[in-house]
Amino acid sequence: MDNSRVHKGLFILLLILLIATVVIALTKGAASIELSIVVKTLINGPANDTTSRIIWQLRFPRVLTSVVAGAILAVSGMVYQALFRNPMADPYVLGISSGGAFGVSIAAYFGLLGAAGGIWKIPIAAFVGAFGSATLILLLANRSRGNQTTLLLFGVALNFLLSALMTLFMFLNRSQLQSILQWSMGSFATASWQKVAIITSIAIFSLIPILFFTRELDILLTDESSALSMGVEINKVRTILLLFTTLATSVTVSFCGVIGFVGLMVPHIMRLIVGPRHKRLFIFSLVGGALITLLSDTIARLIVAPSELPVGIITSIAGSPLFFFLVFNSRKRSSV
Amino acid sequence: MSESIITIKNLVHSYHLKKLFDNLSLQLPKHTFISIVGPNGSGKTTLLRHLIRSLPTEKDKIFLMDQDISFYTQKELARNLSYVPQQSKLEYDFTVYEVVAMGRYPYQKPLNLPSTEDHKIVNESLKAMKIEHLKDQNGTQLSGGEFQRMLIARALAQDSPLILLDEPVSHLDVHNQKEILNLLRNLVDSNKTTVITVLHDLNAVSAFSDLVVMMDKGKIVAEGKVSEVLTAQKIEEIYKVKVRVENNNERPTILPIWN
Repeated sequence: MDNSRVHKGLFILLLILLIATVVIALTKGAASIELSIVVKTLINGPANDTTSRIIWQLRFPRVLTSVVAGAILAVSGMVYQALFRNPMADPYVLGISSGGAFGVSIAAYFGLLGAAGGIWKIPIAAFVGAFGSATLILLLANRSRGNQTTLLLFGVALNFLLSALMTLFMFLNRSQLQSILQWSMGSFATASWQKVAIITSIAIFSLIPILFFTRELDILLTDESSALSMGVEINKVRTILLLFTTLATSVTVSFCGVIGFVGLMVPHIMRLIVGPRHKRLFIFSLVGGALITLLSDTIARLIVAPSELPVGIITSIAGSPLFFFLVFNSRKRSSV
Repeated sequence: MSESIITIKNLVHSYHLKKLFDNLSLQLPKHTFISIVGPNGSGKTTLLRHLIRSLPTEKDKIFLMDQDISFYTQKELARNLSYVPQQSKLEYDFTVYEVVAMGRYPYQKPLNLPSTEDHKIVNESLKAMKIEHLKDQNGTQLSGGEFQRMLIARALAQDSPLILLDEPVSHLDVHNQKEILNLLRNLVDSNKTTVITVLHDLNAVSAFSDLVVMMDKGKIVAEGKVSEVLTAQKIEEIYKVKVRVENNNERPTILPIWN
């Protein structure tokens, strides 16, 4: 049965939902702005009045950052789950996001994030840290021959270690306490147009190549020897895709902090809707990740207004029950 | 002997500093049904894993149709050799058609849609394995026999002259064992394919094989026609079990004596 028309319809619905959520998110905040005024302000472009400044300088960059970051995290989660044949893998669970946050905190501690060199320093520090974690995970995946439990335990242990080290740096570097704390819990509060431009260009650069590997990702969901015998160069594919997703994840971590479980939740939800084939799953995860992260951030902004919660708290509360469910169901799979 | 499809020359394989294969050599002819037998741990799966290059192998050790397998690209190798693993899992809801269509991967370019030829070969493979009626079914919901047919159909879709199988019928009932081995036998008889399979059931080996390779502790202890290899003396020596062998037209029946 060809479901492609149903899938097209669902995708359009998802896109409409995302656009509607973007517009609604722009109306909500410490100062509520009417929908008609938001639409008018968006059409008129940036101006000097307060409403325009709230929308164009504060809310719009924040909304766009959460949309792009969510898309990156969801697609990265989708890729990690296939690369390691592990339904519980995502940038957060495997310790790759923590690696990025650790890279930033260590750079902050040694004073490497000063004004010279500009905004790029933070993503570079995050990439070095995230790449370190990704390399460890890759080495372990090759050694453990696809043992899912070993990989997850390693990710959990790595998260513990990096969290402990980050706490240590917070104590050693109290002047940076607030910003390090922010990275460790996730927030879009510091979004700016400059950051939107960087995160969007990195997202385009890193996520588009994944489209060339959707067949390989499908085949990798079988077993390693089958994938190899069908002609997939497993190590090459793993290295290339891990590099691109780690780059995208690290730029997300550097601007938005560690946002857990988006990469875990979204591909699972989308797989229930469109099935496991990555060609479709890619675009659904992209839009689904954007939608869920934007919704989470909007909730985080409103739930304790005029103050706000770190977005990581919302995504973790929503995502961890799914993680428990997946752990308990990991044995209920067909095999021969 | 006809032209060889696989030639192994002095293959060495060590595991935890212990040599499993010490200069193992073997030559296997084209268009035959070859069974590899031997007790657990004798090196049968390791041998197959060398053939699919999932284990590192030195140059000039294994030749596929007279060419060193280390010179094949991964896709070239896949076009010449397909593999059905001993244990396979399907953890995601791919349809049977989607799983079998994965076998066309070595012929496809990134982003290109599957060609008419791809669809034709996938449908033929489903038909050959008698599972065309299951093509839209979720692959995770198949019975053991159907699942195994799906994996063999995927190997057929690779359209390779050689199919390697690792214990393809071990967990199946006698009816499904017979059906699947018959289908493999027909592939060989059609003169297009060579089948090399690891099997445990010596009576199945006897009924379906042209050639038998018997392994023990990493060595090839016997190779040749069924009646030459499956003798009471060799089986008792290797398996340490008393057997009675009844010879029926070159295809002996092996009866283990349990007491």
